[in-house]
Amino acid sequence: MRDNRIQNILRVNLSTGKTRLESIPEAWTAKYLGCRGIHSRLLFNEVPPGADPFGPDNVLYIGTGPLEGTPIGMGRLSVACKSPRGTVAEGSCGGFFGPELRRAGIDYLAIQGKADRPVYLWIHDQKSEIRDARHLWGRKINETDALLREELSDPDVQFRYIGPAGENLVHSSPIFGNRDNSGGRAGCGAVMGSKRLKAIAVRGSGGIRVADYEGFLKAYQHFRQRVGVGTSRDVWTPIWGAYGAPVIVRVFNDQGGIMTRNAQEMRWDEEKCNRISAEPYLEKYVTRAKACFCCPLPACKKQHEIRSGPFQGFRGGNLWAAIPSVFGPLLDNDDLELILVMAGMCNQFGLDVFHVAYTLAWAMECFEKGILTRADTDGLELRFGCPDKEGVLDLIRKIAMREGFGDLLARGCNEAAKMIGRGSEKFALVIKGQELEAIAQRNSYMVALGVAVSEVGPDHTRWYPPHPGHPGLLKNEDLSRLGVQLDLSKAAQGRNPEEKGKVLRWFTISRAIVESLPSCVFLVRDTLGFDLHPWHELFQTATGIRLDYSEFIRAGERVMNLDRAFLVREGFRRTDDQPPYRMATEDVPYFGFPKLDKPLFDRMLDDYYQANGWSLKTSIPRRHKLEELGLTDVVQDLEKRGMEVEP
Amino acid sequence: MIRLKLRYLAHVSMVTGILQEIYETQASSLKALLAELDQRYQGFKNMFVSSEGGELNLNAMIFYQPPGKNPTPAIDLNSPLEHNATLTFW
Amino acid sequence: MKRIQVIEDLCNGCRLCQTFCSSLRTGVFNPDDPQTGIRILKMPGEEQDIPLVQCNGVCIRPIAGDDQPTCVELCPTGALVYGNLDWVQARRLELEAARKMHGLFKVLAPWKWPFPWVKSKKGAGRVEEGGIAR
Repeated sequence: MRDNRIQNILRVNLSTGKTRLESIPEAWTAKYLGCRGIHSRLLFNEVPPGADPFGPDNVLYIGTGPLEGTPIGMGRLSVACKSPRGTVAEGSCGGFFGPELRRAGIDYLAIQGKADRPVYLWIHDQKSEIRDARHLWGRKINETDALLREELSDPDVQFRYIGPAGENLVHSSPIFGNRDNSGGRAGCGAVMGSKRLKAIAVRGSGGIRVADYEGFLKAYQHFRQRVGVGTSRDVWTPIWGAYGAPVIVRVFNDQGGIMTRNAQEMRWDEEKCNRISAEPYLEKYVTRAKACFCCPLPACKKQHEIRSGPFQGFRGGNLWAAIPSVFGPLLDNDDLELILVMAGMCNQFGLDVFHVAYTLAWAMECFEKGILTRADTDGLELRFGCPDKEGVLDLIRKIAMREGFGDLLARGCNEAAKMIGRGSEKFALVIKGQELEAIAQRNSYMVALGVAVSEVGPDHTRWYPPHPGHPGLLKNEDLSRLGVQLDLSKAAQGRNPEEKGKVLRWFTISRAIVESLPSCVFLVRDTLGFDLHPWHELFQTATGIRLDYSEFIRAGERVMNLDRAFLVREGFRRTDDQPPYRMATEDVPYFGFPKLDKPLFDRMLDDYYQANGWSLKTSIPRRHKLEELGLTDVVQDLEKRGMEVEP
Repeated sequence: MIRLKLRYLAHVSMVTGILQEIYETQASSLKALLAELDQRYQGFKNMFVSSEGGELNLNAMIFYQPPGKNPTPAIDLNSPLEHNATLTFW
Repeated sequence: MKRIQVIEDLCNGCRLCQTFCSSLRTGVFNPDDPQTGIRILKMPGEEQDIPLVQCNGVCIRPIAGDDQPTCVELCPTGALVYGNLDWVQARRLELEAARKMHGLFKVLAPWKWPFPWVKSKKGAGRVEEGGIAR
C-alpha cells in the first residue's frame, strides 16, 4: 500500500546492470511536491555541469508524483535529463504509465550509465530486470508496442519506448508511450537511445491510498465543478474536450498568429485554414475518442483513419493543436491528409514534430532562395506547398534514419544552418538551439518572452495558459485576494510590454505546481490558472501533509529556480534568452507588428528577472532569493564553481 | 444595413451547418445580432447568452474585430457593430 | 429493471469508472481489486476499450444522487448509461441519428451534452432533451 508522503526512486545503472530502490527524503515532498519538482531537484544534485549528454553520467529520470494513481493524476508522467544542447530537458506526457509505476511501488526511475547492447527494463512491482532488446532495436513505435505486448502478454502492462530516431540520437527526439503519446521533446528520447535503452515496461499490483479519502472525494468533486464538466452551461466540453485545440488555426489567423512559410508571413489564406481545422478533421477522419488515465474530458485525444485517396488505410492518433499549424501553414500545405500522415510518420519513427516541421521549413526557404539545390536535397524539389508529397514523407524517414540529406536535417535547423552557412542562419527559427513551437511572438509579447526564457528551450507548455478565460471573469481585486499582484488589463494587451515579466513569472510558478502534483494542465481553465486552492486541497487530502497555501506556491517557485540554476550552471546566460533572428529583426508583413528589437526585449527581460529576484546582468538567481527559498545549497554550489551570485 | 463576416467555430458550426458567411443586417448591437441569428439557427443565442438573465455567457467567446483592427473578446452585449467587422463565435 | 449498460464504441478507455469504483468500498484506488464493479478491457494496439460491468446496478456510493451510479455519472463520453433495456435501445438509436448529423457524436454522446441548447427546466446541473432527463 502506498503512503503518499514517502516517494521511492529506483536507481538503474545500465553499465553495471545493478538496480537499487531508495526512498527520497520525506521533507522533499513538501518542498518540491513531486514529479517535475523532484526531477528539478535530482537533476541539479546529480548531473554535474559539463557532463556529456550522451554519456553515462547523464541521468534520465522518468517519474510521477503523489497524486498519480488517483483520478486527479490523469496519467501525467515527467521525463527529465540534460538535453543534447546542455539545457534542462524536461517534458511531460500522459497515458497510463505513471499510475502503473506508482502501483508498482515506485515513483521515480533514475537511469544512468550505458548498456553494452540494446536492452529494455522490465519492472514488476518492486522487482526489476534488465532484458535483451536486440530484437526490438530498429523497430518503429507501433511494432515495438506490439512486440512487447506479445512478449509480456498481460494487456495491462504499460510501456515507454523510443523509435529509430531516438536510437540514432536525432537531436530532439522524445520518449513515446501508449503509441501516440510523447514527452521530452528537448531530447529525452535521444538520451535514452544513447544509453541503448529501447523501452521500459511496468506492471503494478498495488493500490493508492490517499490520506483522507472523504476529504479527497469532496475536493475532487469541487474540482470537477470548477472545471465545469457536465454542467448545464458546459460549452467547454465540446470546444476543448472534443473538437480540441486544432480549431485555433482559424482563431489566430486574424491576429497575425499563424506562422506561414517559415514565418515569412503571419497570415494564411482563410480557405486553407478552414480546410485543415478541427471541424473537417472531426467530420471526416476521427474514428473514436481516446483519453488519458481518469481524464474528465471525452476526447482530448482521438484516433483517426484516412478511408480514401492516396493515403487510404493510414491510421494514427493524437492531433494536437500545433500539429496542423506546423505541417500546414508553416510549410504552406493545405492538404489535411498529408498533415495527418506527416504527423503519423513522426510518431512512428519517434521524431519531434516541431524539429521536423521547422527544419523542413528552413530547408524549403533555403531551397527557394537558392541556398540549397537539388544536389543537396538528394534530388528532392523541396518547396513550400510540398509539391512532392511522397518525397517529403520519405525525407522524414531519412531524418530518423540519418540517411543522405536527412542526416543534415537530423541535427536540427540550428546546426544544419551553421554547416550550410550562406546566410541561412537567419531563417533558423530556434532559441537555445531548439526549434520553436506554434505560438506567434510578435503579436503577443508574453509569448515572445516566455519562449525565450524557458529553461528547456522554447516550450510554451511551461507557462502558456491553454484556457485563459473570458476577460470578464476576473478582476485585479480578485487576484489580489488570491495573493497575485497583477494588472490584468495590461497583462492581456498583446503588444504592451508592461506587466509581461510579472505575469510570466506567475504562470511559470503556477504551472510548475500543477505539473509537480502531478495533474494535467489542460484542465486549468479560467480562474484555476490564478486560484490554486482546489489543487492545494487535493494535495493535502491525498498526502496528509498540511501546507500553508503560500508554502504550496513557494514550492513552484523553488522548482523554477532550480531549473534556472541548472541552466546557468551549464553556461547559459541572459544572452541566450533571446528571440529568433527573424522575430528580432523583421516586422510582421500585412499587420505591421514591429520586430522584437533589443530595447523592447531588454525591458521585458529586466522586468522578468527583477520580479524573479534574478541578476539583470546574467539571469543567475540572486542570493537573497535562493536563501528565501531555502536553497542555500544552490548558492554554495554555484559559488564553488566560480559563478557570481549577486546579493 | 451593414455587412458583417461571421465565423463559426467548432460546435457552433454544428448549430449553423456552415463554417462562415457574409451576413447583411440592420442589427445595431451584438444583442440584436444574436437575436437575429437565433431566428436563423435554432439554439444559437443560448450558447452565448444565459436564458434567465440575458447576460453574456463567460464560458463562451465572441471575438469582435472592427475593420483593419485586431480582434478582441466581446464584453458588452450593447456594443455597436461596424460595417465590415468580423465576428468569430466560439 | 435498471442496469448499467454499455455503448462500447463510445468508451475512450479513461478508466475513471474502474478506478473510482475500486475506491468506493475500500478508500483505496486499485483497479485490480477483484470486487470492483466495472473493469475496462483494453484491446491490443489500443484499438478499442470495452467496459465489462460486474455490478447489479445498485451503486454502493452514488456520488451524484440515488438515481445515478457513480461510474455512469463520471463517464466523460456517455459510454455508460443506466436504464432498462428499452430505454438503452432508444439511446442507441438516438446516438445513431445524432452521428448522421454531426461528427462530434463519434466521440461524445448526445445525452452527455445537450444539443441544441435548450432551456434548463430543473435548474443548474440537469438539462432535459426531448423529454429524457440526463
